[in-house]
Amino acid sequence: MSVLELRNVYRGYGAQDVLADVSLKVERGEVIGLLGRNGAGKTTLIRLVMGMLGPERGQVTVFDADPRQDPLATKRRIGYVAEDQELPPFLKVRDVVAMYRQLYAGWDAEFATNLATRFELPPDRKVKDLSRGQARQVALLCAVSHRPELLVLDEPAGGLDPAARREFLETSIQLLNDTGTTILFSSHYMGDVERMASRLIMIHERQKWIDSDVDAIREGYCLAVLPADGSCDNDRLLSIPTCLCARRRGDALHAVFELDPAACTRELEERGIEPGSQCRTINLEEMFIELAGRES
Amino acid sequence: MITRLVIRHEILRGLGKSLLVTVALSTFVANVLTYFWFRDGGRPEIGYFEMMALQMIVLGSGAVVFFLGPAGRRCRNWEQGLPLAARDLWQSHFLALVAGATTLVVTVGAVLGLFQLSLASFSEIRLFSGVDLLELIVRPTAMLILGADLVAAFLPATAEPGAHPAWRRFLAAVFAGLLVLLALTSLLDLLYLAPLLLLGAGFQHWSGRRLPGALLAGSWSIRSATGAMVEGGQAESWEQVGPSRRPLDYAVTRLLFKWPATWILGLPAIAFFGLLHSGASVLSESGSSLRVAFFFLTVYMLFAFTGHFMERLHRVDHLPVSRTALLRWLVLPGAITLLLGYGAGRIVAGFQDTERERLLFVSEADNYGLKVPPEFFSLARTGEQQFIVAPNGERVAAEMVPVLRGLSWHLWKPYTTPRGASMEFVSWQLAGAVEAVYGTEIQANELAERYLALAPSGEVILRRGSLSLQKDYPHLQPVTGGPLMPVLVGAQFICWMLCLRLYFRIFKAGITIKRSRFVFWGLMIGLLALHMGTFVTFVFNWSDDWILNGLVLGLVRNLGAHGVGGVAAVWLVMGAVVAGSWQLASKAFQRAEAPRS
Repeated sequence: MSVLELRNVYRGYGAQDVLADVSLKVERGEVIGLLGRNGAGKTTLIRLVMGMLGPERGQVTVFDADPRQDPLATKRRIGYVAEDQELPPFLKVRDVVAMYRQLYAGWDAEFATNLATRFELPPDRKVKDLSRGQARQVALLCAVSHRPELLVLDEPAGGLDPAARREFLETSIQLLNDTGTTILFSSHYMGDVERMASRLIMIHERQKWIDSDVDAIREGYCLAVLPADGSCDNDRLLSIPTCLCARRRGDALHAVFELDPAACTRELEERGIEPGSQCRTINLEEMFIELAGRES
Repeated sequence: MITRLVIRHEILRGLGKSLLVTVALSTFVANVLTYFWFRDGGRPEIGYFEMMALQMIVLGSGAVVFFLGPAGRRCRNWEQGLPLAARDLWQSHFLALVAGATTLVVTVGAVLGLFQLSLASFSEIRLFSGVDLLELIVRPTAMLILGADLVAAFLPATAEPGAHPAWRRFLAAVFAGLLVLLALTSLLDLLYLAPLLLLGAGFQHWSGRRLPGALLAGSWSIRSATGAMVEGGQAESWEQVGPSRRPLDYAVTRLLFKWPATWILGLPAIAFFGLLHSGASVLSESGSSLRVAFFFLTVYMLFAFTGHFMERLHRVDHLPVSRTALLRWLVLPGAITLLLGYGAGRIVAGFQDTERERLLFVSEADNYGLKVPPEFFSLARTGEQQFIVAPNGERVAAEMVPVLRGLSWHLWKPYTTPRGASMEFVSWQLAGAVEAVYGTEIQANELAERYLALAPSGEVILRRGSLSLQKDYPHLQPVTGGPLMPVLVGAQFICWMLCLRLYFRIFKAGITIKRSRFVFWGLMIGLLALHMGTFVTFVFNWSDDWILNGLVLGLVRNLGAHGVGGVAAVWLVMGAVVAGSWQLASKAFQRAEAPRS
C-alpha cells in the first residue's frame, strides 16, 4: 500500500499554472525531500496531499483515499508543520498542547511530555512570547505526538538558525523514521535534504524534474563545464538524451548529465565535444543551482 | 516626507474594511433620520438626545480606525531601518490616524448628504438642516482628533504600542472618555471646541518633544519574556496537560474572526437588529412598525460578520476539524446574538404591550374611525374593491391601500368604519375587532353603551376620551401575533446561508482572489441596495413601513391561525427550510478551498 500517490496532477491559481502533469508515488517509511525554487509548486503539492486543495485534473490519493472526500480521517493520520502555519499566538503552550490532544485520538501523552521536557518548553508562556525556534518546537511536538503515519513538513525550519534547524529536522526524522512513519518535507536547504532524505523530488517549471534516491544522485549525475568558444552550444548539448540542462555561465557552458563523470566524458568524446571539457561529480546544491538557476 | 509617509501609511491603505462598517452605519443613521422625520410629521429639527445618539454613532464609525486598523503600530520593521527621524514616523502615524478617522466620518456625512439630496430632488422631505449635518460631522471629528492626540501619547517612543498588554484597555478608556466629553460639549456651541482642539495640539506638541532619536521596538515584551523564563517546575506541569475542548473553541473562534473588532462592532449591531425585529419600542413609541423594514440590513450585518473569514481559513485548515464544525463556529455567534436580541426585545415588548391599547377610535376632522393593528388587515390579491356587509344589511366600501404602488395586491381593513356609518354598524365592527385582537367576544350593545355616542351631526363618536378596553376588561389579553420569529429570523438565516453558499462556491481552482472579492462585495452591495430600496419605497410613498408590517405580520398570523397544522406546522416547515439552507451552505463550504495566504 502506498502512503500517497499523485497521478498526472494539474493545478493552478486563476490563469497561473503551478503544477502540470505531476505524478509520484511514496511508499511507507520513505523520507522524501521536496526541492524547488520559490513558487515552484512545493507548497501547492503539499496542500494537495493535505486535502486543502483539490487537483484540477488528475488524482491524489493519501492512504488509498481521496483526501478531499474524507479530509478529517486523512488529517488525523497526518502530522503537519508549515513555515506559515500559525499556532494560536494568544494561547499558552500548555493550552496549545491540550487543544491538539483533544483533536487527535491517538495522542501519546508520555511522548509529548518527554518532548516538551527535552525542548525545555515553558508551558505557561503564550506562543507569541516564544522565540521562533521554540514556536517551531511546539508545532513539531503537536505534529508528532499523535504518532502520525505521514509527517508533512513544509519549509518547517525556515528562518531558524543552523543549530536550531538541524536539531528540529533531526529530531523529527529520528522520532518518526524509526517507527516507519513516512516523511515528506520541503526545504531550500540542500544540506538538510542531503542529510535527511532518502529520496529527492525536484519540482521545476511546473513539473517533476528529478525523482531519485539521494545516493543515486550523488553517484549518477555530473556537471560538465565546457568553454563557450563557439565550438558547442546549448542546443547541441541538450540534444544528448542524458543532458538535463545546459546553460551559459560567464565564459563557460554548464551542463548537467544523468551520467557519472567517466561516462559523461566518454559521451562527449563520442559526440566530438571533448576539447577543453571537464566532467566532475556534482553535489545537490550545485545541481539545484544548475537546474533551477538562470543564465548569467 | 511626512506627506508621503501619510499617503502610504497602512492605516489609509487598509481603510476598505472600515468603510464597510461605516457605510452600514451611515445607512442606518439615514434610515433613523427618515423615521424621525415621518414620526414627527415632517419636523426637520433633531432633538438634543437624538442628535447626541447620532453623533455617538458617527464617532463610533470614525473610531473603527483605532480598533480595526493597525493603529497600534507606528511603523513597520523596515521603516525603522530607514534613515527617517522618529518624530517624522510618529507624526505621520498621528496624521494617518486623523486622516483615516476623518475620512470615515466624512463618508458618513457624504452618504447622509447624498441621501438628503436624492430625497430633496424628488420630494419635499428635509431630514436635517445644514447645521445639523455640520454638528453631526464636526463634533465627532473633533473628538477623534483628540482621541488621536491621546493615542499618540501612549508610549510615544515606541514603534508598536499595540503590543503592550494595556493597549486595548487604554483604547477603550480613551473612547469611553470621548463619549462623555462629546455628551458634555454637545451642550456648548461648536466654537467652544476650538480651545479643546488647541489644548490637544499643545498636548501633541509636548508628547512629540519627549521622543528619542529612534522609535524603540517593544522593550516591555523583553522584560515580560525574561520574567516568564524564570518560571520553574516545567516537567511536573507538563504531565498535567490533558485534552481540553476550551482552548480549541477559543482558538478557532479567535483565528477565524478578526478579533476583537468584528465581535465588538458586529455582535451589538446584530443584537440591536434582533431587538428591532422583536417589535420592542426602541426607535419609536410603536416599535412594531419597524419589525420588517430592517430585514435586509440585518442579513447584511450577518453576512459581513462572517463573510470575510475565508481569507483566515488557512489558519485552521490543516487541523482535523470538520468543515461543518467550522461553519457552526462561524454562524452560531451571529445567529445566537440575533435570537438573544429578539428574545430580549420580546420581553421588553411584553411589558410595553400591557400598557398600550391595541384598538383606538379616532374622530378628528381629517382622521376618523376605528384603528386596528396593521396585521389585522386582509390581503386582496386582485386589488378589487372590497365591501363589508353588516348583519343589518348596511354595506360599506373597505379602506384599501396598495402594498406597493403599481402592484395589484392591496391591504384592506375589515373593520372599516367610515364617517356616516350607523351606530349599529360601528358597534358591530368594534365587537368584531375586539374578538379578532383579543380573542374574546363582547357584545356589540355593551360596547356601544360603554364607549360610543352619537354627535349632533349624527356621526358616531367616543363617549369619553379614548377606548380603554384593557382597563375596563382586565381579562383581555391580545392574541399572539403568530409565529413571526421563525418566519422572520428563519428567512434572514436562509438569506444569509444562500449568500454564504454563493460566496463559498467561488473558492475553487481557477478562481482569482480578485473575483472572489468581487462576489463578496457584490453580495454586500446587493443586500445594502435591497435595504435602501425598501426605504426608498417608504420615502416616495410607494409603500409604507406599516403596510409592509401589516402584510408580513398578517400573512404570518393567518398562517399560524388558519394554515394546515397551524403554528406547529410553520415552525416545522421553517425549521426544515432553515436546515436545508444550512446544508446548502455547508455543502459548498466542504468543497471551498482556503485562498493562498
